[in-house]
Amino acid sequence: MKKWLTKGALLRTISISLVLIIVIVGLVLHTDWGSYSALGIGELIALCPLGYLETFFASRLFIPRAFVVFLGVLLITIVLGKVFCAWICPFPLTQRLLARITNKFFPKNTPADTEAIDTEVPKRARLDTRLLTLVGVLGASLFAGFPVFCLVCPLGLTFALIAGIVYLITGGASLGLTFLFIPVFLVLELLFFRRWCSKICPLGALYALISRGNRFFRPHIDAEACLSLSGRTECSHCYQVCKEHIDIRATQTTKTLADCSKCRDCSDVCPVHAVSFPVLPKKKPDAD
Amino acid sequence: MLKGGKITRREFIASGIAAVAVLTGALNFRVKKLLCRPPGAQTEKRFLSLCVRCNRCVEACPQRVIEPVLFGGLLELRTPWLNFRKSYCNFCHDAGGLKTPLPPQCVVVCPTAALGTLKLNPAFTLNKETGYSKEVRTFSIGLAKINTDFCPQHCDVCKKACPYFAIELDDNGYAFLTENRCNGCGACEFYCPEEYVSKTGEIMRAVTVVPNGARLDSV
Ligand code: SF4
Ligand code: SF4
Ligand code: SF4
Ligand code: SF4
Ligand code: SF4
Repeated sequence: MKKWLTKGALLRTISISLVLIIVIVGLVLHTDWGSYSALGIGELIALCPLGYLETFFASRLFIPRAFVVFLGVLLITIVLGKVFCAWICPFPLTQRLLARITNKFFPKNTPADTEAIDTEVPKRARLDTRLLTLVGVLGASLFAGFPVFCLVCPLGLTFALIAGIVYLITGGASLGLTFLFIPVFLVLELLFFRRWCSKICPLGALYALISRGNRFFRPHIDAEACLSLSGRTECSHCYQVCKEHIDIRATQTTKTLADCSKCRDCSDVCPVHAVSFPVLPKKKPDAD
Repeated sequence: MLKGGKITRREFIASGIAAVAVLTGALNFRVKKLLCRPPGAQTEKRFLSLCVRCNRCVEACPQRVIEPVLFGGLLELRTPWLNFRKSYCNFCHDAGGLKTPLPPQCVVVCPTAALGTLKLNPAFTLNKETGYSKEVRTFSIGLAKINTDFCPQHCDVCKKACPYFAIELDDNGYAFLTENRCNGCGACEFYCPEEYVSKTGEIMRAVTVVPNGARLDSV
């Protein structure tokens, strides 16, 4: 049996839940903390970088304050990498939970976390469809004059669903029939776009783009300890477990470390503990 | 699509179609009338293009007059509006009973300046001429509209409620508005006791704030 609650998974779940709890507490207590689109206290804010770009194109206005916040988020992402996807975003976790539930009733469905991984070496880089979505939503925002992706963003919908339920109880806002759009669209995204994260999500694409500049905390393989690199066995556990389909041994993948969400699954799964996350990149071992 | 194989193209086309559907839905299926937005929202077009629907202004408002739109059209979903049936906007002037007034909190917390540089209502810079006594940092949200068909004679609830002395009673005892003093704060609508059902089936009050940019005849 696959041990599904590894140390990394536990820490990630705690982190994701913590952010969610902060958001909900803020909602109930009427603080100004906000939601995934913009989280902060007073004027100190983290703003969704995709939201910033969309509003920039939609309004065609340069808002200095928003731009400074955007730069801040860029900087954090360059330092930490695409951590948002593994440590903050509730979408993958919700999707896996939902898959677990639906599999009880419809066991034929492949759960998201055992999604088939191509074992053959891709000849050339596949087209990154997320980038198409990214360009598409920015273009659509420019054309339509409002942030288009925000309307269907799973994070926004998740928050709106929670807010709607809270306001239904507290009487904080009036709900109409259109509210039903929120859970329906969210469930559609969760159930029918099993590969939302790797194929569609423009936010993930944007974080991956920014993370190309990331050099810290990247997974590093000790080539001598690694069973596969040292030629002892054909181990590929780290590749199989990686939700971003990165092969940190760099033998079969065309995906780069820019997509690494620092989830630490590869390090957890490695039987000889060959994977580490050094702050600064270690020198590549000399090729011989 | 569910098997996780290689049918990425079909999945992608499906999402494309969904996106187009949502987009057209958003553009065509909208709230029928304009809503009062928090101060600083300026034009509806600018506001909708900048708001990332983060809910911060809703949560920050000390008066709790801001609500997220959870009804009506897709485009407006999750954007903030002012529900004058629940409260009114005092521009955070006496928020929490503080001696020093706060700056408008919704404007402070808005990350994208969707609630931005406040457009000053020129009426409020002419304090002396208009006999204006209170120091107000007021910015126009809309304009009160008194429906005399439903406003009873000699009712002065809104007159007393208005912090800006924009409502007075005429010789016959009917309330009337001095437009350049009204900034659409909603206090009159909040306190107004007279309700009626409009032609479109909406519950209206004898005095209703009409948002900036809305045609008066549309309400
Ligand atoms: S790819 Fe998108 S939905 Fe998936 S974890 Fe990242 S931000 Fe969340
Ligand atoms: S390379 Fe490792 S840490 Fe990075 S996403 Fe893949 S499994 Fe997670
Ligand atoms: S100015 Fe203050 S009272 Fe008025 S809507 Fe904004 S936060 Fe609420
Ligand atoms: S704080 Fe600004 S961006 Fe956020 S919901 Fe309010 S108006 Fe929109
Ligand atoms: S007339 Fe009504 S909306 Fe206008 S300023 Fe007075 S109380 Fe506010």
